[in-house]
Amino acid sequence: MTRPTGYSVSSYGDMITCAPRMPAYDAALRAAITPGCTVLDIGAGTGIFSLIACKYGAGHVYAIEPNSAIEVARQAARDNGCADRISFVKDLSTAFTPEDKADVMVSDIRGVMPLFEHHIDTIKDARARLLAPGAIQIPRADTIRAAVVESAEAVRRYIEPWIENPYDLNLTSSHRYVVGSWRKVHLKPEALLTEPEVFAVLDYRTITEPNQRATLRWTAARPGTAHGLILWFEADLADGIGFSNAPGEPELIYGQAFFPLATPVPVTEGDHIEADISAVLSDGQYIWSWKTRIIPAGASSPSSSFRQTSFQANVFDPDSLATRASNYCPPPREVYAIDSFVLKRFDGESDLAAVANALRAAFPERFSSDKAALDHVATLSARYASAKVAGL
Amino acid sequence: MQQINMSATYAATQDAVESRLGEETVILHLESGVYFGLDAVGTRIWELLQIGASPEGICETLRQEFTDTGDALESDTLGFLSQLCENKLISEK
Repeated sequence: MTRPTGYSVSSYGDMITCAPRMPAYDAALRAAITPGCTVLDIGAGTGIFSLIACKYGAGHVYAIEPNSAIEVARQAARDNGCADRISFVKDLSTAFTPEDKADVMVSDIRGVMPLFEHHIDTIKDARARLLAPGAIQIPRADTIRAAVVESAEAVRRYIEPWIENPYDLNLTSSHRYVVGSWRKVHLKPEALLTEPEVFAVLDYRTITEPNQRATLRWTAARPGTAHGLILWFEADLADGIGFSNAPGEPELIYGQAFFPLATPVPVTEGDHIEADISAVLSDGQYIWSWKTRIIPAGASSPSSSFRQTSFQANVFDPDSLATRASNYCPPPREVYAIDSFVLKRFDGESDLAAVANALRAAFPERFSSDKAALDHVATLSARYASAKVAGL
Repeated sequence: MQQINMSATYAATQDAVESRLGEETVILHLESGVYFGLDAVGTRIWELLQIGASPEGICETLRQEFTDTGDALESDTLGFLSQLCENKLISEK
């Protein structure tokens, strides 16, 4: 499992001020909390859900957060008089086993989209190991919808400077990478060329599969230029409580995900657009693929078709790739000996200064000062201290 | 070795995603997580597959585009396509 995405304290602040997201979570917690209940807060960040749970009467909260922001949460708990009711766990929930199972689980470990890193696997694991029978989950489900859009503004970044630039340069070779990347947008309903269709329903009470695939079919409701697809989600937190980042809804931190067409395509009312969309988790990141076909009204075959994937946005360094091949034999390098020397001395008895002194004595030409040796030793110490967080 | 039908058409499977790098291509098989590297000729064959060329058509195009193909062009191409099939990167339409 890979290292979790890092957030700054100010980005957690943006989440707290994000309405109607935060009021919806507040209302869902108020409805779910019963006096003395146990709450599991996964991805607690600076602790806002844990503090709210305490405010509404939770007896015990497990605030789980691998990011260092959890240190801020500890202080906030003291400031709000509930430090004695919150257990802070700086780790991934998948590496944690509590003393008692939770009656309520609250989380928001989505990115722009709910299909984000290990979100689904985390929920699945928590449901199986950390929740009491009948526990309430917040959110209950997310429904991801998709539509075809016309937005010269959204597509501009894919055209400039690669297709058009004021320097009279040919930069088109980069275009294939650019159109493999999706980006966050905030589009208005006027951008929609079609009605939305459901791509996936993620019911967190039952979901087991992190990968999602669907073939969607739309009909253009008006003439225009199809620039791409957008995906958004509607969150169901509790009965009558939720929020959405659909076009026309208040702007949320999530935004919508815009997937460009490799080339904009003019469409007329009644034209059909089909797309095979998939999101597959690979090495901790989702690879999105969108294979799109434009079929003119009355025609049986596409006038345009595109096969795009976020994988194509990667610019690979062949030498670097070769070092990952199963038949690659790493040649001996001094750095291996140095790191091996240091790691052997992480024995629970030697402090970093002692290890650094020994390192400098053994490799005097590589480390010209005590500080340089200590920096190297400290970097290795920090890397392996966080290995548990990284799921190693 | 998987048998290749000379007149059939083959397409990339859902699990095969690729990224170009100059004249070369890197393909990732999403389910297995295995990366595959294609050289310039392999990349050209991959391109021809995407536009619906049959193995027969691919061989014909390669003969025209690469002058020093030699006698083994057809067997090499079929062997390459067979490998793509065996690794679930393409399948017959």
